[in-house]
Amino acid sequence: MDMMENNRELISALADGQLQGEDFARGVQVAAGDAAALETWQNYHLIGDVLRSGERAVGRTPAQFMTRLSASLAREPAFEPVSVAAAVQPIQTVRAPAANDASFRWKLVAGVASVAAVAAIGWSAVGGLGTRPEQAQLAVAAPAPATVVVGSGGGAMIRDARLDELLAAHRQLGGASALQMPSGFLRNATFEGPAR
Amino acid sequence: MTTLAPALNFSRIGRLLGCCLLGLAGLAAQAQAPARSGERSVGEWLQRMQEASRQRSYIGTFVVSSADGAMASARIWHACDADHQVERVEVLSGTPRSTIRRNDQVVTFLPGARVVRSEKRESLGMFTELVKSSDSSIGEFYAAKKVGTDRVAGFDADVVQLAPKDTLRFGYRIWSEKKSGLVVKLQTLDTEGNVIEQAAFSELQMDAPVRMDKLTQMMATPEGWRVERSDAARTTAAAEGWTLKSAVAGFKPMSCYKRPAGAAASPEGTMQWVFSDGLASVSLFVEPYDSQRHQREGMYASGATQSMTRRIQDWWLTVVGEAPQQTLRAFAQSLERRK
Repeated sequence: MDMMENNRELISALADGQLQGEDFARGVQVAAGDAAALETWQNYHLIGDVLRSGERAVGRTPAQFMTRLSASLAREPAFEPVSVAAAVQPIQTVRAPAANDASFRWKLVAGVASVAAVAAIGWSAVGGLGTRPEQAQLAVAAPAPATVVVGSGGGAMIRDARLDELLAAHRQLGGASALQMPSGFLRNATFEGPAR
Repeated sequence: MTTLAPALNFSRIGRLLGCCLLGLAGLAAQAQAPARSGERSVGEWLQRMQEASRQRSYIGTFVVSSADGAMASARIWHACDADHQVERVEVLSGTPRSTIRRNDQVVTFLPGARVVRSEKRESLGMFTELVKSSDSSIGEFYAAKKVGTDRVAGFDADVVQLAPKDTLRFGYRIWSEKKSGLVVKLQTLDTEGNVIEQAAFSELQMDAPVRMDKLTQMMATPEGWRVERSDAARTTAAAEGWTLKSAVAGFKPMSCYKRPAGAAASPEGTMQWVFSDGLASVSLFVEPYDSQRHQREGMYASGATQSMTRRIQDWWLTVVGEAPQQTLRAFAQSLERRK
């Protein structure tokens, strides 16, 4: 009974996205362990969906899908946090679906084994990491007026209070060009450089 | 009928003459540079852009964004008459700050610290002359080409590409409003043609009723605010004991300043030597080396502004400029102590 209770808590935590590392792997294993666990997993999501949205939740998972899920779970390699970071890098565009996208939640419930294992942790990171390569590509691909900005090159980046002072001095006495009137002046007055 | 005939003839002659002249001009232009006839030169474009800001009043919202994702915006008021230009820049993002410029006099208000920074920007007038003068070398290092038309902030604009002729400077893409020539958008492109910074009006009201006297009144220091004046003094690089072994192509020395000692940051003062090729400018800051503060040689980029630090014997050099890293390196390698 204790064991069952523990497993339910684990599944609950997994459904809430609270597990990481080994706990996460164990959670996935438990949730996919047997039919009862899968049902529990699904019910937690159903409860969660209804509580969060109040909209009519998606019905029960078809048995055939569950079979496929189990099969893909069996093929799934052991979870490694390192590989997650690597997997996140090449992702270019991850659009967060609308909150009322029922089919999205459905996919989250169903495809949890193969996709969510990576994505659940990866999502927060993707927001930050994913944008850079995408922007770089955009700028290269579109020479036309509507180009967006690109990432700057590597190297040891230095920035301290002193450099900020010198940047300000450059803008004041040196940051001058024929484009000063008006755009250079406006640029300098507007853009003091990003806040640290 | 009889009166019409000569008129027709005249117009025909005029047309023929015009064609000949255009043809000649075209040949001349082709001999100099592969420019299409009727195309404006770099100098002509720049002069037109500058004149627009001297002749038009406007109110607008100006947005600057950089490659690293930083973005800043400001509300702009601009008024002018025959002799004066007044401009108010109210920053809408980050720390509240407002700047008012009357010709080369610039006052910046920092409400958070209740501080007013007052300074004279000699460089502002300098470049107006530079573009006007016939010996301007901008054309030697940049080629202007109209690449299309576009609409910015509701205005039709010519898109002009200022392409650098070597890799020592960035390129620019400029949107110049069709009727007035006013710059409504500006992109800075790195040596590979990627946009590293862009500035544009997102909204613009031309010939807006901006009262010059009202703006000028706003330059007064509010009661209880502290006034900080720029304490940089004019000097020359030679007097400070510095020279360039070899010039960096296109960049001419414009001015040199020294900030006095006293501040803990730099006990013996810092020299600022300013160079420009007409469009881009580079500042060399030299101060005595201090092992405590100057630990890491390196670089930093913020939008189009690049910077790098390097130790030269007992000195610490910081190069800052709207130019590629290799240009800054060329300056660093060429700077030499003469004392």
